[in-house]
Amino acid sequence: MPGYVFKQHIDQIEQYTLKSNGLNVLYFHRPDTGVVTTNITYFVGARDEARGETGIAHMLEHMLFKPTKYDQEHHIKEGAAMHFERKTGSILNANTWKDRTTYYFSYPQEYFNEALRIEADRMQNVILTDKVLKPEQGNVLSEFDMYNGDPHFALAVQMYSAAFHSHPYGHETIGYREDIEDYTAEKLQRYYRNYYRPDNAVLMVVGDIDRESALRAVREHFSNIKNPDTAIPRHAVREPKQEGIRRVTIERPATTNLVSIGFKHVGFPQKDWFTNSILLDVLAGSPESILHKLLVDTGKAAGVATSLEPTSEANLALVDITLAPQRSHQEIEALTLEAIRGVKTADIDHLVKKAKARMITAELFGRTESLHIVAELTEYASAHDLTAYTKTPEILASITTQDVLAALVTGFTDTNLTIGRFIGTQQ
Amino acid sequence: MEQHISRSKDYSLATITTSGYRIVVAHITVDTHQQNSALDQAIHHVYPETLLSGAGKLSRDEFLNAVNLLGASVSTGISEGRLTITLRSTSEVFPKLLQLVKTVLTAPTFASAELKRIKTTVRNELHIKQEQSSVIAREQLRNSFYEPSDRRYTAPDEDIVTALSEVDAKSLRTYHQKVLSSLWTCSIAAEGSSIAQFTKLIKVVKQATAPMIETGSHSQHVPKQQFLSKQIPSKSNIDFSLGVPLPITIHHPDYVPVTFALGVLGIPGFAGRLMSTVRDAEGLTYSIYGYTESFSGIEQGYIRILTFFTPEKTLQGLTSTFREIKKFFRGGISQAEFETFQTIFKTKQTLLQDSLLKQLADLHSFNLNGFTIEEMRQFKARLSTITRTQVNTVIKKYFDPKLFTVSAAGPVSTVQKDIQSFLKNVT
Repeated sequence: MPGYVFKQHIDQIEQYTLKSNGLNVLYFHRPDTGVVTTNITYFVGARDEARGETGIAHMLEHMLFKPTKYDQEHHIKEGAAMHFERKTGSILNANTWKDRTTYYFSYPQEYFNEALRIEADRMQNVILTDKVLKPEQGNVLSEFDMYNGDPHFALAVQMYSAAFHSHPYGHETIGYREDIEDYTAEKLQRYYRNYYRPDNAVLMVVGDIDRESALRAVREHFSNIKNPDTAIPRHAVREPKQEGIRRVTIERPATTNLVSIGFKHVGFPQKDWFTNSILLDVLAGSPESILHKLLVDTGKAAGVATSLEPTSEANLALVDITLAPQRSHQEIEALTLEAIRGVKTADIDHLVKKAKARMITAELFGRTESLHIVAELTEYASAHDLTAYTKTPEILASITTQDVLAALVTGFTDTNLTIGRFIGTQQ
Repeated sequence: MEQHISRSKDYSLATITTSGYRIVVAHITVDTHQQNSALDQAIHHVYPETLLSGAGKLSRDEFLNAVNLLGASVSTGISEGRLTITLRSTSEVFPKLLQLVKTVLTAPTFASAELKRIKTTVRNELHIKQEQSSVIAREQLRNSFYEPSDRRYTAPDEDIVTALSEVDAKSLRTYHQKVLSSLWTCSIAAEGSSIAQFTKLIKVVKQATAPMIETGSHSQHVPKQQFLSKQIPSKSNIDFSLGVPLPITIHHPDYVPVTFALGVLGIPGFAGRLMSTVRDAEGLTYSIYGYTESFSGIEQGYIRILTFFTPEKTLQGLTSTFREIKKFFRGGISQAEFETFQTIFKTKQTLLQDSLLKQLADLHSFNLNGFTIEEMRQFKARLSTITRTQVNTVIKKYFDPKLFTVSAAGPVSTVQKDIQSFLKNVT
């Protein structure tokens, strides 16, 4: 295809680069649905934020739904993306995470060109002024309050902050409320200029459109966008050594009580990341899991849950326990750590097998809808390892019980742990 | 993919015949609603888990082990008196999964040790619910619309906890018998052979049981209070559910125009009037959507708008929301708006084609309401054949702001009086 360099086949997915500006393009044909999903992911997220400006990548994501110069000239008051949804009923949204910011549209195939035009236009042409920023800032503050009202979220914010003293994974993607209140259009413009450029993005086209039409349209809309002359700013941070368990506590007038145990893990999609995902499943992923049986089945806890983010660098995984009434944080924490550290091969051999079987089936289910496909691809693209996308079932199948036990020992040593307590003072 | 619905006196079966997918998803829904007493509701909390806690010669552990080794899942839940069992697996292992499900349905154990465990779990879950403000706001609203015997009414948590003591193996067996003898609504997306195996299972189980037709109690009344609230100090936002009960079922000629009208006001996404004004223009909340809920072929339902505001912005938010509802009520929708939403609803149908699981969920909901495939097509077609006059007529009939009940849960105490004064002046 003229104008492109073909990079590789990743199973049924084809990867290209636009010669003129280095934009990465992924194409996956899903015939007979009448639907196309496009997704553009910029490699900028919370990790690219400085202190005092936390959450700015996410704020900028909101602003990309505001008008561009083209929109103003064409009297599209609310911005073309919003206008597109309001006129066509297509699905569109965006999300920001630690390493990336993602925008997607899913629509009937006849809107393909219009969706691409909007995406190309807003890559660099959104008009950022304080007047446009103000109401959207209010929405983001409302979003912050929505999350912050959740004890699990509030505790996680403190946990990440304690776990990372230097690395920007130490703050949540939404940022701190005080920082959100202080954003200005000038600050946002700086981020926009630095990171929204073709050589810092990947565009995915998944759906019912033939290759030639898809690539021709992408070239038409994107090939004239230029990269700035400046390099993309990156923070290269090595997290200082941890020398013991780190602890945090939150007290609120609530009836909820939580213990959260966090451990640092390697980045996605390394094999050890998947080993940790199996480890978390073994610990708390099903009614058969160790902590479910120990805590929930015995009535000591109301629930156990885990989280493991697919970030490209080392991050914090969490095991969250919601206490049953009248249970003490101390008791639950001690019981949990004792149970985890006492795990033997025989205790988990069968659990590892089942976790793998479920995860491999989940991979199949995840590939039955274009929105799910692009969502999954986004994480691999953001970690700059697309080939792992098709190898995931193979990687999962290769993980042994011994690998999981080794991950457990590494994960749950004191110098790798952060422990948090949410204390509800209203019982 | 070919869709089909067949009906017999014991069950209905909706099918989507797939080709090339290696997965199977199936739902079985059974309407067991009777009097909705606290004991009924306690059973609804306990039964779904007891069903998966041992059957035939299998203990709970053995059953879970067998399902998980297949990489499959069986989930159960009861909502508004309807039990739904969902099966998910690869096509390859589906016959083995069906064997396990057959055992569960024909020989559940209801062992006392498991029952004791589950009751404790339910008590803990109800304890957690105290701070789930959006759930509570919705419950308060529904309870103001319906009598305690109606399926939409939720008994006070303490009454359910008390009633748990009356739930025993005998009451569960009686309930199970009702599950077996009531009409089953079944839907499956799979290749032909899996559909045949699923059909066989349904026939075998249903043939062994005498059919029973019983209609539960249903009663709607005019809400006595316009404002309901619960103080939950730990939350940052106040969750709101605003709603009106409507005296129509889905077969009433007004139902489709109501769905259309509510879409214009608050369709999920960014296209609704409330999102355009309350969120985008004024920055008062992160989301504000409208839904038709609990309508069926035989029962009347209600419309609900859900949103949240910080206490500081609550009065401004409610003022803005009611201003939009009033404008909607008085002015109806324009021709341009009408045509745009015709396109939007058409797009939503096209987008279904991208997702096998969403197609099945859609088909299952029509199956539940007694539609044939042809009736389903006609029903969907009505969204594009109804007139603007019909839509504006139902807006005049049902969207009077004075009819809306407001239910709030969160840190509401500081603004409670202001809300009450505001609502007195809604015209």
